[in-house]
Order: sequence, then C-alpha cells, then structure tokens
Amino acid sequence: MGREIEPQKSQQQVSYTVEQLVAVNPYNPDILPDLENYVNEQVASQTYSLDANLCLLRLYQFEPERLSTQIVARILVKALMAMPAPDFSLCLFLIPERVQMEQPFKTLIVLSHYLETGGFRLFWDEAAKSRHIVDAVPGFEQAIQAYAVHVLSLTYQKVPRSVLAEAINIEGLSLDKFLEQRVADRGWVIEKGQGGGQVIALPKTEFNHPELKKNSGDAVPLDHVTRIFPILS
Amino acid sequence: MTESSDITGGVRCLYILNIIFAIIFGLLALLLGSTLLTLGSSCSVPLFWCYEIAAWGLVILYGGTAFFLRRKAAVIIDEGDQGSRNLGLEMLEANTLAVAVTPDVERRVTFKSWMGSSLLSSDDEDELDTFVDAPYRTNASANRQRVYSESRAMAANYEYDEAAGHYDDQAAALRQQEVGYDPNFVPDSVKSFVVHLYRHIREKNVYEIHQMYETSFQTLSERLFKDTPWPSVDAVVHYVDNDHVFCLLYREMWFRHLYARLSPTLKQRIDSWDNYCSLFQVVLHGVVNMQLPNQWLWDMVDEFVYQFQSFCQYRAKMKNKTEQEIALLRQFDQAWNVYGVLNFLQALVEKSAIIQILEQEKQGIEQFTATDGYDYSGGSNVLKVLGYFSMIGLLRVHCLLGDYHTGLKCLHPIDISQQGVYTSVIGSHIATIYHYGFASLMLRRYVDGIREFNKILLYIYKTKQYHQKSPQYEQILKKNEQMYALLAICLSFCPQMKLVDEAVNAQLREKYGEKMGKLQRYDDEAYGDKLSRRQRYADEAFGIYDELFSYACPKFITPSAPSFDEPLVNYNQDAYRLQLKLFLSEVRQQELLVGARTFLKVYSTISLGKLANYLDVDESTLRMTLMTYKHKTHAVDSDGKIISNADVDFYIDDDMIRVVNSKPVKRYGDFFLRQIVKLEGVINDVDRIKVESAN
Repeated sequence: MGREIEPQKSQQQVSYTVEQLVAVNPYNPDILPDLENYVNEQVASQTYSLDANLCLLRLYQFEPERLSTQIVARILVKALMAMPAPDFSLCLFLIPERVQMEQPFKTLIVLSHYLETGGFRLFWDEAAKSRHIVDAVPGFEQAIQAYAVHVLSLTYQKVPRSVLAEAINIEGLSLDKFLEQRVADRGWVIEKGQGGGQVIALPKTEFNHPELKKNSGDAVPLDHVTRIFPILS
Repeated sequence: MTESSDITGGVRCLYILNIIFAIIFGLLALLLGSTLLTLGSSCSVPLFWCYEIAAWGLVILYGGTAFFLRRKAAVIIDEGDQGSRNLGLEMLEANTLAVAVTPDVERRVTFKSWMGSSLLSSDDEDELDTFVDAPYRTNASANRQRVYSESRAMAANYEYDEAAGHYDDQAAALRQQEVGYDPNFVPDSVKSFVVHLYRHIREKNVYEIHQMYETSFQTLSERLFKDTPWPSVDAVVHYVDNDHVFCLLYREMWFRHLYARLSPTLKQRIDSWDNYCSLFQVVLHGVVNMQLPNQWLWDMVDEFVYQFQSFCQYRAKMKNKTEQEIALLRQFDQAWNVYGVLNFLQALVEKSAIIQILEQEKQGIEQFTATDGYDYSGGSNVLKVLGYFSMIGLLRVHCLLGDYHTGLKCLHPIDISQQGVYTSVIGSHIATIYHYGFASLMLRRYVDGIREFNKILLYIYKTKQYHQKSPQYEQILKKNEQMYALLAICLSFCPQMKLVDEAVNAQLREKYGEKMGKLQRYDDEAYGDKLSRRQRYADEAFGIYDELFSYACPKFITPSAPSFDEPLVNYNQDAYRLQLKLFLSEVRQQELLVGARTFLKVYSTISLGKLANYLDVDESTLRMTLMTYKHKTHAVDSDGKIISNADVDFYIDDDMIRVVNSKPVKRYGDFFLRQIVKLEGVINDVDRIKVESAN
C-alpha cells in the first residue's frame, strides 16, 4: 500500500531519472516509452508511483493510438493494491469509455466495486476466475489482504473468525499461522466469542475505540490566542 | 513619442517664430534705412548707422536663436528615440527555452522602432470623452452562459453552445460581414484609447492602465462594437509607433472581445493561437519592461485556457464540418495542441521561478504577496504574475482532462488557506476554489471541498454587491450557483453541518433544501411495498445527483486530435459522459449507506440481526454495508493519512453494533476570544467618550 519509492540498487539510476522526468517535463510525448518501462519495473520490484502512472495515462489520453492495454491493466492492478486510496478511480478518469468496456478492464472495474463495498467474498471468487490478470502482478494478494485487515480494524473491535477468514481468503491451518504471526507482531488477541467460535480482538485504534479519539473540537489554535495578547497585557 | 513630440512641437514653434522675426527685421533694416538717409538732418548719418546696426544685430540674434533651436529640436528627437529604445516595451533576444516546446511553435521576435515625428503633431489629449457608464447588458448571447433548468432535460442537454444561436463557421463569417464591419475604420475614441493606453503602459501607470482596461475598453465595446470586432491591429498600429508588444496585447484583447460577443471562425481561432504563442514567447524570452494590472494578466491566462477548451469542443463536433474546415484542421494541427498549451503554462511557471519565490517568501527573503505581485523596484511584474496564474491555469486544464490529482499538485505551492495574489482578482479567486473544490470532490476528500466552498461562498455573499458593475458579474453569479450545487453534493456524501457557516447554510437550504432532503430520504415505514418505494427514492436521488453534477461540472474536453479518416461523428460529449458515469458509480455505492445511516442515528446499541431485519437484508450484506460505510467515511487525505469524516460513528463488537454518542462540541474557545476582542473595543470607545466630555 505504500507510495514511497525505494529505488532498488540496480535500478536506482533509471527510477531516479523517470521521477525527475515526470516532475520537470511531464508534457512530452517522447517520455512515453520510459514511463511504460517504469510501469513494468514497478510490477517487478513491487514499488509504486502514482504520479508516473497518471502521467503515462495522460499521454495515452493525448495519443490514443499508442495506448497499450497490457500496460494500462497493470497500472490498474497496481492502483487496486494501493487501496484504500482512491487511486483506481483516479486512473479510470483518464481511460476512455470504449477502452473501459473491453476486457480485462471490465473485470477490474467489477473487482474494484467489490472492494469498495466490502464484498470480499465476491471479490475473491471473481479474482480466482481471473487469475491471469491478477497473477501478473506480484504482491497483489498481500496488498488486498492488508486492505481487508484495514477495513476490518476500522469497523470491528472484535471480529468473528469466519468474517476474517472470508475477508482475507485464508482458511484452516494457514489462517492459524497467519493469526499467530499477527498475535506476535501486531498485538491481536484471540478470545472466545458468544456464538462459540473464535473471536479476534483487533488492536485498539481511534477508529474502533471512540474513547481514544482525540477530541480536537475545542482546541484553540495558538495564533488565535495571540490576537488577544495585547488586550491581556 | 508623444513627449518628445510635445517638446519638438514647441521648439519648432519657437524656431519658426524666430525666423519670422529675423526676416521682418532684415526687411526693416534694408527698406527703412534709406528713408532715414533722406531725412537730411545733421544726425541722419549716425542715426542711419545706429539703426542699421541695431536692425542687423536683431536679425543676427533671431537667426542665431532659430538656428540653435533647430539643432536642439533635432537632438531631442534623437534622444527621444534613444529613450524609447531603452525605456519602451523592450525585448532582448535571449537563449531558447530549456523546456521542450514543439518546434512549430517557436517564433522569432523582432523589434521595430519608428523614427521621426510629424511637424506640430497634435496631441489628442482632450478628446477622451466622458464615458457614460452603460448598464451591463444581460444578454443571453454571452456565450459562456448556460441556463439552468430544474428538469432532467437540462442534464440531457449538455450542449456547449458557442453563442445563443448555433453558429457554424460559415455563418459566423457571414454575420461579421453583414453587420458592415470595416476592419480599417478607426473611430476617434478608439484612436485616443489606443494612444493613451500605449502611453500609460510605457510609463508604467498601473492604475490608469487598469482603469482603461476595465472600464474604457468595456464602455467602448458596448457603445461602438456591440456586434462587430474592434478595428484590426493594422489600422491602429501606426498610432503606437508600430510597437510589437503593444500589438500583441491589443490583438489579445481583440480576440477576447470576439470570443465574448461573436462566434470565431476556425481561421480566427488559429490566429488567436498564433498571437498567444507570440505573446508568451516574448514574455518568456526576454525582459519585458512593463507592469500590467493583475486583472489583465489573470484574464490572459484564463482566456488562454478558455479558448483551448472552446477549441477542443469545436474540434470534436466533426459531423457538420466542411471540407475546407477539415483541410484547415489538418494543416494547422499544432494550433491549440494540448502539448503546446500545457508546455506554455509549465514554461511560464518554471521560467518565472514563482515556486522558489513563494518558498523564499515564507522565509522572509522575498516580497511577492505583500506587494500583490507588483514590482516597486522598477522591474516588471509580468513574468512573475503570469507564472503564478499559470499554476491556476494548469489546475484548470488538468480538471478539464480529468486528472484531478495532478491538478491539485500543480496548485500545491499556493497556500489557499491564506490570502494571496490569487485573491487580488476575484475571477482568479473563484476559479481557484471552484476547481480545488471540484477536484477534492472527485478525489473523495469531501471535508476539504466543504471547507473551501464554505469560505468562498461566504466571501461572495458578503462582497457581491461591490461587483455589480463589473463585466464579470454574470460569471461570478454563475460560478456561485455551481458551487452551491457542488456543496450540496459534498454534504450529501458527508453530512458535516458544523463546517458550514450560517449564512451559507441559509442560502443552501433556499436553493437546494428540498433536493438535499430527497437525497437523504430513506423509507423506514412499515406499510405497503417498502422495497419498491425505497427503489423509487433511490432512483429519484440518483436523478438529482445526475442533475446537480451535470450543472456544476466543468466542460470536460477530449484532448486528442480527431482521426479524419473515420466517419465523422460528434464526440464532444465523450469526456463529460465518462466523468459523469464514474461519478454516478460512486453515487451508487454511497446510496447503499443511506439506510444504515438513518437507523444508526436512532439507536445506540443494536444487534446485527435486528438491524438486518429492519433493512430487509441478510446479515452478511449488512456487514458489507457497514464496512462500506466505514471505508467511505474514512478518507485518505493529501498526506496519505486516514481521517474520519463521519457524522455518526459506530463499532462492532462481535455481533453487536455500538453507536458512538458524539455530542456536538460547543466551541467555547472561539466564542470567548471574539467576545474579549469586542469588549476591548467597546471599552476603548467608552474611554474616548469620557475623555472628550471631560474637556
């Protein structure tokens, strides 16, 4: 989900140059091949750069005959992995309608819809049917699982095991291993639920524990108070 | 040149006077001398000689004076020209741009100076008529108007009209001819307008330039050029010493007038593009030594982007194009090319180093905002301020293309939470906030959008009476309405009434209160056919979102050139349809939440099963809905952090939903601060009264 670009040692030169290009000279049709290579690089090295991808989509918009569906599909999958950020919609805004009506874009849009509306079961089913699209990008499953856990942490204080399993598409022994790891790393606690099954208590954040929410409603910023200093003195 | 022609005019006057006197005394010396000799008295000879000496002395005096005056006049002319070369609208040729600009767009700049002045050149100083303030015509022919109607038919009629009638190219050209437009006829008032404007620009009288630009230009257009263009630049060029830069500025105003009042032909659009290229090249390449009012500089950038948008819309209507037009389009494919437009704006931003200037200003090293962008040390404000406004121009272009993220990035150097140069011109203030708010809406940062819309709508509410006479009044009102619509949408997605000011809230209720009610309506009545009723409400809400969005959105464009080989169709609506479709899919997702929100407001604790029952869905769907609610109300802001903008919040404990009781927070701190300041003011007033009465 991270947006930071950690240039790999071997590719340090190239990614540095591409980022510079996007910052300094983005409205230039000649950088299109560089940007396409950069997308492939992002896929290979599991990095992500929204600005570069948007730049490329813009150039495709200016010259639709150079549009490469494979590259665009990869960009969209990368954007899905960046959830909960709205990157996927941002990319869709730049892709012409008639392109969006073709495969694999139709499937990707459906997948995005499921993710946006919390339909994880439906999402994993659909993803299983379209392995060829999502397997092209390594790290996809982990990213979506991270997003699922994020949404669950927003919503639940204590989540039933079945719901968790459905959301991250892991069952049985692998789920146990996953839970063990989380208990060790992130402080999850496994308890006994009311229905008899297991219930996982997720770490307390301000979103699922309202008492932790910092009440900034009545805070008075310092510069407002400085206005009355002359009066007070 | 008028100054030195003043001087030379006077000097020539004296010179001629002296010559006349010299001639008179010469004649006197020759003719009357003989009469003295014939007097025949004893002192006639010495008298004669005295007289002759005196007369010839005077002749020499006057002649000499005339001669020296003549030499002085010539020197002044020379010096005057030297002066105009140094102090005028000057351009030095500099290196080519570091940024790639498409080669067809490069123009060589030449500077012509006109030598010499006419004998006794008349200065039409007092011919400036007292311009009567003509009431601004609220005429539907202003082509940027789009009448808002309440029905869905409006949304279906998203048609971009160039003028009140559907003019195509030939009709436009014909119309211009019909009205009897003679491009070479220059009325006297235009002549003096041009001469004075040129002089003021030369002398850097920014206030006078602003007056002439805002008021005189509009009044003359109203009076003389309601349906015709202004006189062509070739007709006025010799009143302004053939000054190249002034010609570019004049043509810019000329085209702007044309776009506003008439419908431009394709050739005119292309010519306007050439003019902008030359103008920006001049600004980018050299030291343009003039100060122009911010209003004019903003209008340049605004008009540039507007004409680009207009051209893309025009080009996309391929169906009724004639062979001629298509040939022209093919030939001049560089005109209004999206790369050209973007690169010019980017070049202006970079060459002016405005980002560094703004950074340094925060550290106190530079002065930019404090002087409103003007340069009080004798330099020119044109490049800097154009660079500044180009950032807003880039935001606007990116919004038109649908790239909201990059648009906001381009605006990033400008801090919109504070006053700045962008607030110095009302047009730029509104354009900035409108596009910022719209981009925030599409990026799902509803809180940012609401906050900014609230500020600007309050500002307009308080200050719109001062702009009633201004030519931009209609535009201001239109944008005002559009922003209310966008605010209504944002508030429906993210009900945060405490962010909205009272005055703005009242206006919003008045305009969209009923519609907003319908958007949040959810039927929880237990009678009858609940599901079909709910479906009906949902469809109704869907329709309202469609209508509001279509009314308030910018006119999106398709930037790519058409392919002339395929069958000709109109594709000017494609961009808008795409953005609308994606917006509506977001609406569909948000509509799922209406029911949950209604119930959560009522209960403090409810089990999942019971709530699922009320909403007539099964438990797993309810879990999905609740997760969607959480996801949608926890937006990712510009720094990547998650912030909650939910008005009603909850958390789930196994299978119980516990709703968070959030009492509305009374902002005591702010209230006390305000009252303290007020009280202090009252005490000071009372003190003053006491002192006065004691005396």
